[in-house]
Amino acid sequence: MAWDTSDIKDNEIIKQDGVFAYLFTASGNIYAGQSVKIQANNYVTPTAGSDDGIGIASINSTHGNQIGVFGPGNIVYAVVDGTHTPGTPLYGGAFGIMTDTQGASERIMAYVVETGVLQTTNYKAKVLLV
Amino acid sequence: MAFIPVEGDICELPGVGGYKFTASGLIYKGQAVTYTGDNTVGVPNNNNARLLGVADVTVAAGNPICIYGPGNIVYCKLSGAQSAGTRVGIISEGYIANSADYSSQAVVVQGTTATGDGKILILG
Repeated sequence: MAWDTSDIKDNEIIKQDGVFAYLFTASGNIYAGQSVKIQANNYVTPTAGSDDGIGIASINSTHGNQIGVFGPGNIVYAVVDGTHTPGTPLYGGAFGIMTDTQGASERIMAYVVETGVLQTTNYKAKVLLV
Repeated sequence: MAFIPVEGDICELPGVGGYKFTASGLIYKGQAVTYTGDNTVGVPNNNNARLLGVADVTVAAGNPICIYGPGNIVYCKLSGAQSAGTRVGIISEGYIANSADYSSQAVVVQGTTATGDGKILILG
């Protein structure tokens, strides 16, 4: 499984208007809908498996550019690796795709709110970030 | 070590997610706090407390206080060198460190090479 830009668009990420996003700088290319982790001081990068994800990228961005990240407390659309029923805990996975498979000591970063729907390659689900 | 208040604004995005509590003791701006009773917060004297949030202002015991909790990115005092991405928690005197007891209450967003001001994302 790999990231597929046709799975989710940057105008499809946020579910609720009026919630806030954190401003970070992108470390490497980041696509809207990818789960991200802290890479360095004020930098984020896509999770690569068994990483502590902190939120979902709101837009596409390239290395060194600013990026908004929706964090805990937000309900957003994100890319996941399966359908996953509501209430399923999700973790940061490879390619910034959230998964229900927990890595070693990996924190829960979201719960499924609405079952994932197959897009081109992966699934798009509504999740509550925690 | 005595706590030295953080200078400047505590919250990265002022106006989001501040809770109102009552201080159970003297609390300094930028100090991490834990639950101490019904609707009260305070500074722990050990390393196995539960992080609630970070104080927005300095207040004396019995006074209302604004606490920035989960979902906020805030400035605080990191104990020792802490690198970005490290899972951290609250320790005695309201410092933030890689606590062995509760090490996943927050993530370091901006680290330090020695004890000093840092930035964390508070988690649930």
